[in-house]
Amino acid sequence: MMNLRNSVQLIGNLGKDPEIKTLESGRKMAKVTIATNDIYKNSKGEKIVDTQWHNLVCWGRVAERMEKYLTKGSEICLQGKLTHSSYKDDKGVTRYSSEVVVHEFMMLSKKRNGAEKEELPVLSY
Amino acid sequence: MASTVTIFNSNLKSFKMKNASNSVHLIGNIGRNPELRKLDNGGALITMNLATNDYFKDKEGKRVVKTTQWHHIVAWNKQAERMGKFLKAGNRVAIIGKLEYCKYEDKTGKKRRRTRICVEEFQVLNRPMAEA
Repeated sequence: MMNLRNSVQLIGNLGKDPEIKTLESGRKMAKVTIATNDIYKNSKGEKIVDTQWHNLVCWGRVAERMEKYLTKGSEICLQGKLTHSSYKDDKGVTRYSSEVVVHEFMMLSKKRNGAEKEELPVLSY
Repeated sequence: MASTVTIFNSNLKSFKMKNASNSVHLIGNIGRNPELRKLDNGGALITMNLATNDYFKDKEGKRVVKTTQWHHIVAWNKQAERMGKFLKAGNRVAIIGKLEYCKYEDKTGKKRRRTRICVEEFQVLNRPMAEA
């Protein structure tokens, strides 16, 4: 139901290797940035390449898969939801940040050397 | 891999294919009345806030926790004027758009990043009603 109300789909390349953290509970979290490119011609006929950088976060099985298969430059297609949060920085100023929480992803580029045969997408909620 | 967007111009309307690499679907309620601004070059810009709700059930299966995400929505030119005509505070609307980030400098000169969704398609749903 949630996917109908708040759903993001991105296709792009990772900017860095995923940053993996294991929490005290044992749960894994992965954070990474991804670049999406939108190429189009504007009304003047000029080619425009619009690159957007998105912050991704994922948990559990999805994070484990990310750790296993993805590196900087990997091309993936993902689906998730858009979340916004605010925090106060050291000067007490409210800052806002947005992240896409990844529900599932699919690798589009070649796998890492030694990786196993591609599994079906794993859903993790 | 890149998605190609083709723009056709006819006498009546422009047609732009949606890109596949960056797509957001939201269904939610509009906050305050949208603000429509006319730009110097003849275009228009509309901004509004949209709230999407997520409900979590507890172990007994009762709906308990409601979390709300507020999204900044923008639209340009013809799309902005169309939205300005149809949308008001409280309207329930479905939006398809693109996730964008704009950089700006705040008063202290620090670089900041703001998230917004640029609308490609929208549809007004019924007036706000209690979630089923």
